[in-house]
Amino acid sequence: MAGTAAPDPQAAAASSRPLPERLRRALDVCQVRYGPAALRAGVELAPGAGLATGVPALDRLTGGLPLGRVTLLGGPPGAGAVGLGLAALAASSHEVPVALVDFEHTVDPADLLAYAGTFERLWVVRPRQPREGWAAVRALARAGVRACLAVAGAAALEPDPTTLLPTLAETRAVCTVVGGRQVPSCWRVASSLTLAVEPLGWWWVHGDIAGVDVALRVDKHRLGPAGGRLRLRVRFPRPYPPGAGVEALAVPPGSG
Amino acid sequence: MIVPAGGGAPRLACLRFPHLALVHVWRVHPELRDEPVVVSGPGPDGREIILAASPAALAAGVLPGQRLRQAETACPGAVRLPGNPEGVAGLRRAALAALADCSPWVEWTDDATVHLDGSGRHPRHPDEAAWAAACGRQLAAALGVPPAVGVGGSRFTAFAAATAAGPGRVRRVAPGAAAAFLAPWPVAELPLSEEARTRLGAFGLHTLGDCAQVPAADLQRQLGPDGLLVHRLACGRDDAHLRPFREPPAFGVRLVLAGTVQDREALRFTAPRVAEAVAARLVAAGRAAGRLRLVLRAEDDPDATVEAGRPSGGSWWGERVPPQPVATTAEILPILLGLIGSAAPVAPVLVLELCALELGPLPARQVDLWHRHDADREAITQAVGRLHDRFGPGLVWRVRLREGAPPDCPERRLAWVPG
Repeated sequence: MAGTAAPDPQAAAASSRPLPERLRRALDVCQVRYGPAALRAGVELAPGAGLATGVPALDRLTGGLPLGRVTLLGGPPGAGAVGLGLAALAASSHEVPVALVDFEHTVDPADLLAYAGTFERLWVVRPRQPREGWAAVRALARAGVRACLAVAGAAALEPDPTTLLPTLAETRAVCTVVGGRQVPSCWRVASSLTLAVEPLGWWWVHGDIAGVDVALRVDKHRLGPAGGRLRLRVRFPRPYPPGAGVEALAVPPGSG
Repeated sequence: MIVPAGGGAPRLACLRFPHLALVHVWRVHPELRDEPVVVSGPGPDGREIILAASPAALAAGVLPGQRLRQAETACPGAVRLPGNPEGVAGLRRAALAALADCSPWVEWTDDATVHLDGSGRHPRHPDEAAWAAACGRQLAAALGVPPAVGVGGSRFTAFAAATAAGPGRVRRVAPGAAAAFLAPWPVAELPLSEEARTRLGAFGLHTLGDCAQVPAADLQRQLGPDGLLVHRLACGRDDAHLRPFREPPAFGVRLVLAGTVQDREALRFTAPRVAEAVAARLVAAGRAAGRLRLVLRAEDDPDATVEAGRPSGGSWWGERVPPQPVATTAEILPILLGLIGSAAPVAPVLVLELCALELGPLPARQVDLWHRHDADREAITQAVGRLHDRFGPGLVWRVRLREGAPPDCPERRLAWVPG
C-alpha cells in the first residue's frame, strides 16, 4: 500500500547483531513448540509497515498507524488530538479512500483541506446513534475504505469494540479513534497503538492562537516498543501562513 | 401480516381486450380486422359454440356462447373460423410475460380480461395514472390490440371503469368515488341470478345508485346473499379475490425457507444464496436486470387467493431500479438487502422470490483502469446505499467546496451531498 511508513534505521542496525547462542536456541525451542508468533525478539517487532501519518517523526517512532487495527489517540480537549488525526487522515486521503466518522458533529471537514488533504476520496459519516457510526465504519471498511478517523466522545465509545476488530483485521483498514481523556477500558484493551497527547502551551502568531505544542507519548504498542516520546506542534487551520499541519519539535536535552 | 409496499388504499386495474381467439385470427388474417368474424370452438358439452366475435359481428347480434346455427342466423355474412388453442396459449403467455413487468399480482380472469394489483408505489412510474397507462401499453405491445384499462378500489369498480373507458383508454375511479361512479350502472348487468335481477326490477331498483339507497338489511331480507352482494357492489366494496398467476418469471428465483421466518436478519442471511442464483442465470444468458422485484410470501400455496388489493393476506413485495443494469452477485446483493431492509414483516415469511425485470445486454465496465481504487469507490457507494437503507438517509455524506461561497462564511463554503 502506498503511504506506508519508512523503517527505522536503528531497528535495522539492532536486528543485524547476532543473538547469544543459548538465547537463540531457547527461542527456537519455544517457536517450534508453540508456533512462530509465540516468542519473538523485540527487534523483529520493529515497526515499519503501518499507514503513514504524514508526520515523519511520528512514523519513525511508531512505524505508522498499524494496519488492520485500532489506534487510540487520547488527550484533554485542546490538546491537538483531532488535528493530529485529521493530519494523518489528510495524508492518506491522496492515496486511499478514507472516512471521517464525526460522532459529535463537531468536526469541520474543510479542515481536512487545510491539512492538505482532498475530498476526492473522503466520506463523512454523521451518525445519530453510536451504533450507526460503528456499523458505518465496519461497512465502509469492507467496501474499501482504508483509513477511518472516528472522533468520538465517551458516550460514543459505549459499544463493545470487539465487533470492529475482526472487520479491521480482515480488511487491513486503519481505524483511529480520538476519544478524549475518558476512554473506556475495553477500548484501551482493543487498541493496538495508544497515543497520549498532553498540551504544553499555545503557539501564538500575530497575537492569535495558531496552534498548540504537545507532548506525545506512546502508551501502548502491540507491534513495537512502547514508551517513546515526541514533541509536536499542531498548527490549526488559519487564513495566514504557514497554515495547518503537524511538525516535530526539537526535544530539549535531558527532558526525556 | 406483511403490509403492501408503500401502504395506502388497495387499488386494482382491470384490462379488457378482444378475446384472444379473435386476436389470433386478426394476426393470421389481418384483412379481416373490420369484417364480421366469428371464432368457433367446442363448448362444455362438446358441441360447437361461438368463442369470440368481432365488433361487426357483435353489432349484428352475435353473442359469445351461442350455438353456431344461431350465430349464422344472426349474421349470415360473418366469416366463420375455428379457434386455434395453441395460438391462443402463445398469446396468453406473451401477455402474462408483459404484465408481469407491471405488477407481481396478475390474475388471468379469462381470455378477454385480466386484473392486476396496483397497490403501493411503482418505482418506474410517478403515479397511478402513469402505471395504468404503462400496463395498457405493455399489453398492447404483446397482443397488438389496445386494451381498455380501468382502475379502482375494488374488482368490480375496476371492471366497470374498464368497460366505461373503451379500447386504448384509461379510466380511473378515485378512492372514495366508487359509489358515485357506479350509481348509473344498470342492475341488469350485475353478476346476479336472473331471478334476483327480476326482483330488483320489480322493486323499482334499476341502477346501483337505486340499490345504494336501500339499507343492506332490507336487500338481504328480500334477496338473501345476493342482496348483500348488491349493496357492497353499489358502495364499491366488493370483496372478490384475485387469483394471481403464479408461474415464476424466467429470471426469477424462488426460495422456500426451511421454516417460517419473522426476523429480517434471518432473511438477510438467505439473501446471498438468492442473489447468487439470479446472477448465475443472468450471466449465463448474457443479460442484466434494469429492475429487481422482491416478493415475500407468507405461505407457499400456489392456489391461495389474494384479497383484492391486499396481496395474499400477509405477503409483501417491493421493487428497486438500480442506477445501471445489474448482473453480478456483488451488484444484486446490496439491492436485495436494501429491499429486505425496507420490508416490514409482521407475518412469518416462508417463501422469498427475487425476479429480474427489464432485461438488457450486460453493461461493459472497466473500473480501476485509469485511477486506482475506482472499484473501491463503486463498492463504497453500494455500501453507503445499504447503510442508508438500514439507518435512513443522512448518515454518510460526500462534501465538496461550494464555488463562489464567501470565504468568511464557513457554514456556506461546503456543499453536502448524500452518500
